[in-house]
Amino acid sequence: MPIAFEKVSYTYAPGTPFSYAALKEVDLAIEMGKITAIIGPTGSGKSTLVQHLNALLQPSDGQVLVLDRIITHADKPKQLKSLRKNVGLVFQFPEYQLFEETVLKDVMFGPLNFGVSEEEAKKRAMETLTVVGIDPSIAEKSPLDLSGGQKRRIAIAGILAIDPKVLVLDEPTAGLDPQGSKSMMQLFTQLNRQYEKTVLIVTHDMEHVLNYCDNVVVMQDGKCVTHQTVKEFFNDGKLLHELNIKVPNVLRFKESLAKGGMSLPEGISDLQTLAKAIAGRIKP
Amino acid sequence: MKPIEVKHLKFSYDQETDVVRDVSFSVERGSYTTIIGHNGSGKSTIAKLLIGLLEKEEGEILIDGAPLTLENLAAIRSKVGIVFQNPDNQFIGATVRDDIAFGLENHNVDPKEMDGIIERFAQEVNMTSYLNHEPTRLSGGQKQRVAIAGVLAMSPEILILDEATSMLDPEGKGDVNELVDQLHHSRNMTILSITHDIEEVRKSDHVLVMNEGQIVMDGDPDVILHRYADLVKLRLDAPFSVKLALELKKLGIVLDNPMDEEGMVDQLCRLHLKK
Repeated sequence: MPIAFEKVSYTYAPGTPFSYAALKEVDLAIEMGKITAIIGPTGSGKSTLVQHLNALLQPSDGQVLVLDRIITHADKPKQLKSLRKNVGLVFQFPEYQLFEETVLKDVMFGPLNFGVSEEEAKKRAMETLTVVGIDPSIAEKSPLDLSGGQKRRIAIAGILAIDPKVLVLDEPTAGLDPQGSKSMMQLFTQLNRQYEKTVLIVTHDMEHVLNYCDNVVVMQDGKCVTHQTVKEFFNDGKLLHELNIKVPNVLRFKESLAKGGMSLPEGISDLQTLAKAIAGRIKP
Repeated sequence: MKPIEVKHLKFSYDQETDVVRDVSFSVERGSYTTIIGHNGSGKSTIAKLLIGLLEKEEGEILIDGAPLTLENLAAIRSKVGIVFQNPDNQFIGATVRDDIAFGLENHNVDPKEMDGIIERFAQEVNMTSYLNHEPTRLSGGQKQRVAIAGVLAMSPEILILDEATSMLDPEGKGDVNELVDQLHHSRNMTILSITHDIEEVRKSDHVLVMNEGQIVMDGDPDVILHRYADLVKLRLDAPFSVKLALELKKLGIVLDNPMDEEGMVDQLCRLHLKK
C-alpha cells in the first residue's frame, strides 16, 4: 500500500501547557491514482494530516507509509529529501510564497533544488507553466505583478516542475472567483487523468467533492471518521446529517423533489443529468 | 444625501492601465449593497479608494455629501469602517481586548470609558469570553468578528467588507454573515460588501457587477442574477436554481420564478402529478 497511516498520532508542543493532540491514532489508506478529498471542520486535523505526507511533520506515534518509505518519529529530517521529490505539497494561499524576480525563476527553483540541470529545469518550468494554463510569454515578468489567480497557478507549477507522483493541495480554491475555482479543479482532474498524479485535496466545498473527487476522507476531532467513495458518501443521508455536511445543490434539489413525490434514480450528480431526469418524468 | 456617491472615478496603479475606469454609482442609506466581479476586475481597488487608502486620479467620492479629500480624510474614516479579506493581516494588539482598544486610543477615547466600550462591542460580536486571548489562537471566523468589533467601536455609519468571508470555513462564514445581517437590521447600518458569495448577493438590496474596471450591471439582484449568460461571460456564477431553470428551458420546461427554489420544486412536482 503506497500511502497509509498506521495508528498515527501527532501532538503539537508536547510536554508543555500548550500541548495539543491534533491527530489521534489515525488509520487510513489512500488509493493511488485517484483524487481524494479531505474534509472536516477547522481544527479537525486536516492540515496536520497532509503535512505528514511529505514528512514536514513526523508522527509523534505510529507510522506513515509513503511510496515504500516508512516515516516514524525517529527519522532524521535529512533522509527525507527524496520523499519530498515524490510528494508535492501546495499550502493554502501559496501565492504568498512566490519570491523570485521572474515567473520562470520561481518555477525553476524546485527542480534546481533537487539537482536537476539548469537547462532541464528551464524546460520543465516552461512545460508546467503551459499545463497550469499560464501563457509562457509572461515567464520573464515578475510574479508579483500578476493577478491572484495567476500567482496561485504559478505556485502550483513550481511544485509540478519537481514532477511529484503525489500532489497534495490545502484549500486550493479559497478566495478564487467562481470560474477561477472551476478551472482550478479541472486542472487537478487533468493532472490526475492525463498525468496520472495521485491527488489529495483539502477542501470545504462539497460541490467540488461531488463533481471532481473519487474518494472522501472526513476528519473530526483528530480522527478519521469515515473514508469511502464520493458516490457512497453522498448517498448516506443519515451520515451527512450526523456530520453536519452541506449537501451539494443537485442532491439537495433531488431530495426536495422526492419529498414532493418525484423520486429520481440514484447516481445523478450534475446539473444537466438532473434536468434530463426531471424532463423525463414530466414531459409526455 | 446618500451615504456613498461616486462619480466618474478613475484610477491606475502604473499610470498606464486603468484599473478603475469611469465608475459611477451610489449607495442608499441603510441598504445592503454587494459588488461582484472576477478576480482582478477592480472591486477591491474601489474599496481602497472609498476609504482613502488609495488616491483617485479623476472623479469624485462623496461620503454623506462631503467630498473625500486629504484634508477631511480623518473625518471620513470615522464614518466608514472596513474589514479586509485576510484575518491575519489586520491584528495589532497582543490580546483581543488590546486590539479593539487600538482604534479607540487613536481617537483619544477616555481610558475610563474604554473598558465599557470594548466589552459592549465584544458582546455584540459574541466574543466576550475571548477578550484576553491572543488573536493568533482564534479561528478565522473569530478573527473576523474581532476585526468587526474593532471597527464598530469607532461607531461608523457605513461598513465595507472586502471579501471578508472568503478565507473562512463554512462555519466561520455563516457566523460572520449572520453578524453582518444583524448589524444591518438592528443598527440600520449601510453595508457595502465585495463578495463572490452568490447567496449573499441574492439577499442584498442592490448589486453592482464589475468587469475590467467598469460597472457593467447595476440594480436589483433578482433581476441581475437571472442574466446567467451575461454572468458567465463575466466569469461569474448564478444561483443553482437559475442554472437548473435554464437547463430545463432547453428541454422545453419553462418555470415561473427560478430565483425561488422552493417554488420551483412545487411547480415541478405539480407538473409531475398532472402527468
